[in-house]
Amino acid sequence: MVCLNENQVDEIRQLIEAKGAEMEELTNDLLDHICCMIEERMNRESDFRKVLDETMAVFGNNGIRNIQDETTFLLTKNILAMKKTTHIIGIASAILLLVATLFKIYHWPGAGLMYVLGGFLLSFLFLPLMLTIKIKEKISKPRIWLNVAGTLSGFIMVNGIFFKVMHWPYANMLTTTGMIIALFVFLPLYIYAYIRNKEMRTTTITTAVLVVGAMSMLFALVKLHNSGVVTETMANIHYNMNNEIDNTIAFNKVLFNELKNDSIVDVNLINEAKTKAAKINETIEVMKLQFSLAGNEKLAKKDIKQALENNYPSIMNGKGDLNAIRSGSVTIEALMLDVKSFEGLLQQVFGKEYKINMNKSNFDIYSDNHYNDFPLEIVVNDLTFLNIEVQRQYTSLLLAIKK
Amino acid sequence: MYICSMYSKELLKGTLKTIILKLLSENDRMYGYQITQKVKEITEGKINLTEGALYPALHKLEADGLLMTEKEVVGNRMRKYYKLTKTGNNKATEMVDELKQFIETLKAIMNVAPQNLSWSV
Repeated sequence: MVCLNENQVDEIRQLIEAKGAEMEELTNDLLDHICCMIEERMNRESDFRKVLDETMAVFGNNGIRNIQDETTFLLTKNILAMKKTTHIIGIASAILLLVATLFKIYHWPGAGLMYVLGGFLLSFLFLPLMLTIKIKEKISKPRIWLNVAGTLSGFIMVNGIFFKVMHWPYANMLTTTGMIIALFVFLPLYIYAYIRNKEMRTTTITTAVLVVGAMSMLFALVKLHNSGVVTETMANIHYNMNNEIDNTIAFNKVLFNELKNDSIVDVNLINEAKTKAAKINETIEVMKLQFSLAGNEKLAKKDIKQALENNYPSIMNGKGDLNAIRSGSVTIEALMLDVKSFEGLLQQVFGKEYKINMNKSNFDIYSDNHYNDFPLEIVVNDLTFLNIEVQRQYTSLLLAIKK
Repeated sequence: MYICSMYSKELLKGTLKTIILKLLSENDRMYGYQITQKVKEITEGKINLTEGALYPALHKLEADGLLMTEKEVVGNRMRKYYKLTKTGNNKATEMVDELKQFIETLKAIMNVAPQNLSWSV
């Protein structure tokens, strides 16, 4: 009686798996069955390769896949409805996300709602249902873990991208976590499950390369910095705004000294305006420094100070910590009160309601506890712009009194 | 792809489970290849149970709790023996009886036709 050796049995197993056997138990059955068939034939014919080819030919091209499909069908007959529902949910979420993207691009109303719905369907219904079905289909252990890792990384990544689109906090952290799971858990499991299989090797390598490529591109999108041209432009704007503040303050000083000796001018009023404008200027300068420092622990205080004045591009891609300007000596809240009181002064002089121009929605975010790390460039520019606006209004106030 | 034999596959489709259960009730435990060979031997090759019919049915019967498996390493591979559970044993008796009665009934029908014919002559 011929008995197949370990290598021959291993070769047959790979062949069966490549031809479409997915369930571990079924693979074992078919492996034993085919080995029996081959061993019986080899009593008459000694060429293993020839016998193997002849035996596999009995099954035809799709024979093994058909056996797998038939078994899966019989075992999952009772979850057929669940399978159909899952497919419908998958298609629905894909369409919703696609249409939502179109709406978002054209700024039509309803995009946000569609994103929420599509993202919810995809990550909370489609992915878990799909995993449940895979487990019920009794696929082999390594493939179950592969599916768990895939579902988990997909779930986290979809939510991360979704958070990003909705401008919710923690988006980058979620996306990065999802990508780390995909690269360091899913991919090794995937390669482990399929690489031994000669017939699947090309497909395995192609898929692995595609996954790595897609992850890198996604990572680049998440962490993308401004291009050189944009950096230079932003830096120029920053320097110009700072110059503008210095010039305005110098001009205001001259104007103030001129007015202070004028007998018909209300000195108390211009003194109050001067104090208030100076206080806002001081607060904002301290705030910019504290905010930048809190997000860039690696840099020394003097380097940050220098960067804010002369070498802005070196820090503008970084992030600051908003908590640094929520409590302590300078706070966004106190700054807003100062601005309001300055507005009151302007109203008194001009005799009508006066509003300082600023990026109100951004300042609302800065005092909202849900956000912590925030792009340095945006906060610094908003603060600088507010400062210019206040110093200029102080100029107009002085000029109005001079008349 | 189903049961290849001299009989049409529709004819055998409904009896596949009964054939498997009957064989297992007479032999303590059997593995897949053994079942196909046994059927071939008993029916003198008139019924050839293919892998495509046998294994999906075995897995379904196992999932339904009628069969259980015992694993043994034979040569360089795992061999799975299928065995009736207690429920499976009862079910086997029940299904075999049902099929026997069905065959009797069929016989009656098959015998009616010639008689009717003879009367009409």
